Amino acid sequence: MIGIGSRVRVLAPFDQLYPDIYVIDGQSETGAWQIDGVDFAPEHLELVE
Amino acid sequence: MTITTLDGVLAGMQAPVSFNKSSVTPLAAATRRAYTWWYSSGCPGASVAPSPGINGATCVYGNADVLGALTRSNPTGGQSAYLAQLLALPTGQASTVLLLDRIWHNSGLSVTSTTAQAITPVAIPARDQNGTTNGLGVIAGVEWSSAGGAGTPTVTLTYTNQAGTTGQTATFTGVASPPAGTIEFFALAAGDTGVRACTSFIQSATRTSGTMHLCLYRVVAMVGSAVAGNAGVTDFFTSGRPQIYDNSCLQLAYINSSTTANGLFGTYVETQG
Repeated sequence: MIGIGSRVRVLAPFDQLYPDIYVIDGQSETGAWQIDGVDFAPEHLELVE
Repeated sequence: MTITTLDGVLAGMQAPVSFNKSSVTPLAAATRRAYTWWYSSGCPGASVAPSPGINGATCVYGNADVLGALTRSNPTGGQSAYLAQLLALPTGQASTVLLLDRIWHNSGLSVTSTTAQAITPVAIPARDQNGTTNGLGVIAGVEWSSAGGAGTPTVTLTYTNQAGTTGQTATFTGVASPPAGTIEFFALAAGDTGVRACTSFIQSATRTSGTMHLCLYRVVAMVGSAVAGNAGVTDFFTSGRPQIYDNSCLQLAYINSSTTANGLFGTYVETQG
């Protein structure tokens, strides 16, 4: 389950701009998870254990 | 034919076309973001939101979906057309006005979808930087005909570049609540210098609401005004003699420096020979 503080990998095609492992640092009013203010739907993120 | 002398420029000068457009209020200035008067009232009047569907349509001057284009006529008798003068007076703020040739646009993109939206576009007209269909110098953007909603996703466009290489990707990060008239330009893949065709579009999250269009443009000329209410001007020489190809749909937009509402007055002059 992804939440604020989760470590995630961003999936293709967005991994070209976000190629590393990131920490979710917010949630937008639309419900999307945020990395540095950029929104990602859950289906474009993969939780890194 | 080609105009190569000052006498040729003068001999081919067409009647000036004046324009005035009501204000578009921008968000904070940001890289690769502009605001177009395409949907603003004035002269020429507001253009309608394009509705050709997701596969888009080429923009041809005089068609019903490009009524916001500056008035012009194609040259006859094998002659060519060039910019002779662009005078632009932004009324609200220091800004740089862009004269664009609107080449292709679409409709029907979902603003909420987070899956790939496939596009099978028609070929662009021969209006790239060199007057060909290759796409050199053609830039891609998302243009909002009605205000967008919350959401700041990464947006990725898959495209064919100016050399015909397929599967290239371009990106930008969307801004929250873009007003009508906002254009968000894509950053192309490394080494690319233009877009020949758009083939797929995907967002990392929803934009929530609004109406957006994928558009292809060629920047014909730019003119800066350092003070609101003062005109900037460029001409045949200082603009680098850009050619205005047959059926060009000339569109005005601006790069802002503040969040103050910005209208426009000005004149456009073409020379043909």
